[in-house]
Amino acid sequence: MKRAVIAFLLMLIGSASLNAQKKTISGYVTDSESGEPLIGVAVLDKSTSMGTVTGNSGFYSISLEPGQRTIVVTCLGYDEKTIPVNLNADMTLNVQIAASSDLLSGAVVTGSTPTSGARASQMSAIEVPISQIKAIPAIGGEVDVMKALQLLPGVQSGTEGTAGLYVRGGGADENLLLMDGVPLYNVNHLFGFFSVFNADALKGVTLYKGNFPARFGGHLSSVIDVRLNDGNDSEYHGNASIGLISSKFNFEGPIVKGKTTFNISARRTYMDLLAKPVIAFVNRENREDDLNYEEIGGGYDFYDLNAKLTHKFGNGDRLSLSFYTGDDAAHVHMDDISTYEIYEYGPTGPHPSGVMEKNRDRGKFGWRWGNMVTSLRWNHIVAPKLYMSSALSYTQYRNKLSVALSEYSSKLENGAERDGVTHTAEVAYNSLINDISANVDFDYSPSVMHDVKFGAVATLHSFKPGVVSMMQKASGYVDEMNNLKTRREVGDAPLSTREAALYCEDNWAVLPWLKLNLGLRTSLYDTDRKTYLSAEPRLGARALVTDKLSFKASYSEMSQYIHLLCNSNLSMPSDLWVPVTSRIKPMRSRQSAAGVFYDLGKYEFSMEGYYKTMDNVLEYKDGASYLGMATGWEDKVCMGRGWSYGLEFMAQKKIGKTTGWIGYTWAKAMRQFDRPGMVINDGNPFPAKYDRRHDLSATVTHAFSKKFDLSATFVLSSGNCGSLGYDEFNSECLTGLGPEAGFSTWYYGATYVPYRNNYRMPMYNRLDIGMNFYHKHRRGRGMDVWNLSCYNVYNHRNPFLIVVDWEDELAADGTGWTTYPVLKKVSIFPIIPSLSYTFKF
Amino acid sequence: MRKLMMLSAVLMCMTLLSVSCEEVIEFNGDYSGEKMVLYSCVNPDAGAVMVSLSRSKFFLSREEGYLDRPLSGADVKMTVGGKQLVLKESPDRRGLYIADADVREGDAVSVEASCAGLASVSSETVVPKSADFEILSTYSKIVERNAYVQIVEKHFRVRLKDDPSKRDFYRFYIVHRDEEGEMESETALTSDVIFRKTSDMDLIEGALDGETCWRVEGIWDDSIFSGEDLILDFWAEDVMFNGDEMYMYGSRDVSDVNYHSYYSDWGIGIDTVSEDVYKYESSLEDYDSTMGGLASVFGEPVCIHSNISGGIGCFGAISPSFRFHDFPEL
Repeated sequence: MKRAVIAFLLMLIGSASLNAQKKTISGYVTDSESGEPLIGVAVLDKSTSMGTVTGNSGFYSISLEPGQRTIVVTCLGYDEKTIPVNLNADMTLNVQIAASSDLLSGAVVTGSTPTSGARASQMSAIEVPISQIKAIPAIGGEVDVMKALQLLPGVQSGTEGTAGLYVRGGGADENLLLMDGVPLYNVNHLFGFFSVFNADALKGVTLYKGNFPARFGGHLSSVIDVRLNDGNDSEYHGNASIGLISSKFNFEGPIVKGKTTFNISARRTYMDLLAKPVIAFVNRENREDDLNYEEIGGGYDFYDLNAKLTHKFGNGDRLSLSFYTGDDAAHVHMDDISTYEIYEYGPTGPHPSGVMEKNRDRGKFGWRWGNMVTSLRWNHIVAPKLYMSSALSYTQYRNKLSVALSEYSSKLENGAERDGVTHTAEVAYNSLINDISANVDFDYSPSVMHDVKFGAVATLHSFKPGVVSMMQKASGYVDEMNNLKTRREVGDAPLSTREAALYCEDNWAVLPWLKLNLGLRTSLYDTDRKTYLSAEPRLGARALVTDKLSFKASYSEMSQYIHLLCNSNLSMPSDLWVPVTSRIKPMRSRQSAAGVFYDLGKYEFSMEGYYKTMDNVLEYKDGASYLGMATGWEDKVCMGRGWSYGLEFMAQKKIGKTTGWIGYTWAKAMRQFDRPGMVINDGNPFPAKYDRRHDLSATVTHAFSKKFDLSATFVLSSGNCGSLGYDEFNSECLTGLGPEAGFSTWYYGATYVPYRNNYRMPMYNRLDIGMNFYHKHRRGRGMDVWNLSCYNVYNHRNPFLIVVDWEDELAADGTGWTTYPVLKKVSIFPIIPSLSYTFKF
Repeated sequence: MRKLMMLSAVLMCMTLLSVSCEEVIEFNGDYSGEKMVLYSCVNPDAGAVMVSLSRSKFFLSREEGYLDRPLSGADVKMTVGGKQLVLKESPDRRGLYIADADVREGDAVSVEASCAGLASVSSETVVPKSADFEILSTYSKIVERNAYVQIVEKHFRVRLKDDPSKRDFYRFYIVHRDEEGEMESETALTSDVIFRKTSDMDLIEGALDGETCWRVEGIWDDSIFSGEDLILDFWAEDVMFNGDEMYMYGSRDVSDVNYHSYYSDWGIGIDTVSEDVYKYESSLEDYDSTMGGLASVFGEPVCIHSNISGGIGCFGAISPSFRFHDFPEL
């Protein structure tokens, strides 16, 4: 390994010296209308067809022989631009390209795919443009990035409606979710039914399922790279939407034209506001007595806010400040109100005092969780061939689950309350993660044959993995001695861990038909008096057979130092992120993939196969629950291994009035936990919860005109796995002394589950349809967009979970009722029509 | 527009409310039919072997009473150390099959059972060697005394010698002997045992902490101390009641109260159990404490261990051993 690294570095140095006489053209490629930097734009020298692709900041650098050159700038969805250049010295060439006239006339473009396609060296990666995500029909009309990613081959969704992603047999926690390069811990709103990504604030999303570039690390199964819009640098633009679930707005524009831009977007639900009158009505209807009655209450809301400020200065320098915050809050309470007359005790015994007392006993359950992310990024052109992007970032994830009981009592006098006294007892479960991170990334282009990326990242994690706080409070007493407040916390002590990584990768055009991506990432994690070090090689190769056909292969190793302890049934916000410890080791994965890619311009076909092994994956022991996990979580989990393999097919139409894709995945995902003291399922392999053999998804959008487009999504997949006992039996206890040692007569009923996840739920299928109506204002530049969508058009009741229930039946002789067991599927999303209105300006 | 949005919201709510979210479905799993349920645990001190047979019930069956489905008329054979035995059904209990047998430590034992209408079952086990342990020291102290009760802590220090060549499984409990020298029945083995917390024995203490119930708690494997001597420090509480009066009013000098202990001898029992017994009892404990994983919607399911080929249940072996100590009066 050491020799290989040295040889690789020598080769790079040699390549750089050979190219010393060449001249470099570098600069940014931006959208001519908005000034937004464009990612994945190909910048080529026409005579040699050699070139490069712009990175996340829209920067490119290309070194060519001096002389008269013709630079061609191409990007799907944009008009090609050809620029003659007299190249005598290093030069800066900032290029603005305009959106394709086809696009303006109503055609839709999807899959701006520098990371996919036959010519790209990258495999197992898909870039989904925001325009396509917005066109896909969604629950309640709420556009969702994660839901769109679930439609891609190799990606399984969790339980119906949830935003969980299970990529190539990995777990929900094995996805690195980056928002402008900063990791997010929880991307769920509404218990996972929506993600925190507000599509109005986004520029693009790229999903990596394998062949991970060395610049990414820390999670095993996927990288979801979400980038925020910088903001228009010449004009103010915005939009405001009203939907059935939430309303949102987005506003962007220049603060200083051409230099400083802003982009701000916010979203809030109003389910709590809609629920209030319904709850009030129910309470009114249920109240039979004004003195003694019960009331229920509750609500749910979420909000998120994205903001980004970008300033351009100097020679291509950019400074950007990104901020995101979002919270979910759910609460339910039940009040028991009672009013009675106080009795006094006298010499003749108790007698009514004539004073009424009113009591309100309240039980309240609350749940709040959210993220906050902020980052300061500086992009700087160090030299024409060397580009630097550095960032300081802060991430916080918090959640609090609380149960409170309170009692309020007061005297009633002429209908007015006085002398109120309150007693409150609350038990809350809190967890918190704070990350402070610094990273620096360099992009070095010594020649057209090499594109080298290298950098470093260091992160300080602070975990408060699970703390239970107990609070007691009394107030309102005249005598201050009785007014008290006590608070106590129990749980694991806060834990600080340190993570650092160095990486280097080279996208090397060895021959015109052969491209290699060679990378190495080394990472270090210091925790709990133990330091883990790992080297993660990354290899990728593309062999271009013809201009349209290529074969690709890759090998990636990944390490993950943070685990998510989650129940296998649902992805909950209270799922606990915990670091590796001296007992719980880092997860590691090895993934090999190979594929064939065929590109017909408008159409793109691909087939990939993969085999992945995962080591030190975690799963709860039989019967374990994350509740009560304040301490000793290491004893409730098992560490084992997993493996998955599959075949993925994708056919995609990228341009034209009709666009979309069809994806099919055949896959298998298994787990095995057979280490001493960490045994599940008797140590035998069992299917992973989201092991689905078949998964077909298709999405299509057709633009009938500038005023109307129609989209549809169809999903058909094998059901999820679950554990279901098929046999009921007597379970006897093997104990005792003397001749009866074999067993006792003590027994009780149990159900026998032959192995974990033995039962497969019924097949999942669904069709969604969405329509967009556009109306451009005759005066001004505003536009109305009406979205009418329907989720689950044919109302198929897809299983959310399976339960054994009891039904009643009139006995055959009509003399009474008998009960019998039945298997029921519980579904949560029937047909859901929705409407939303957006005003764009 | 407002009207349109309101109408749409109402329509959405009506749709959500009107469409039932539960539906009875056909079972589509791979179910092979009712199974024979076999339990047996051979014991070197028993002088006999017993097998309990019953039958399972399909979970969607409309038949009631799965708690009482003993299986009569079965053919049950057992091979102990190469000698085949035919077990006969007990006249006192349906589904219980018995034969005299001389089981020794290290014996390989197998069982086969067949009955019309059910698949035949079989299993095998090896009788483990009994535990090698000794009581190193003891002491007792009074921790509470009042007019009604006296609580005495009986402290033990025990050394267990583990065989490093193989994985062993143990069950630990407190044993009592009454004044006639008879060992108490299993229901007596419920004294609370409290272990001293040490930093390196969390696993064992986690399993043993609290009540060493006669059923499954206190069962553990030697994975964290394999090959080394295990020193266990613990105590049990002897709750001694006033033998004179059950209720007394007001305060009273406790010096003359005649506290009565139910037990004279206190001892330690350590069973060596076969791996399948360990797995079965552990899974049963998980099942019991979580209602099969259904106690919490956030809980994981529990698969009860079975080593019965063709059926359900557990066939294993237990080799008990005891050490007693007569605590002096305090």
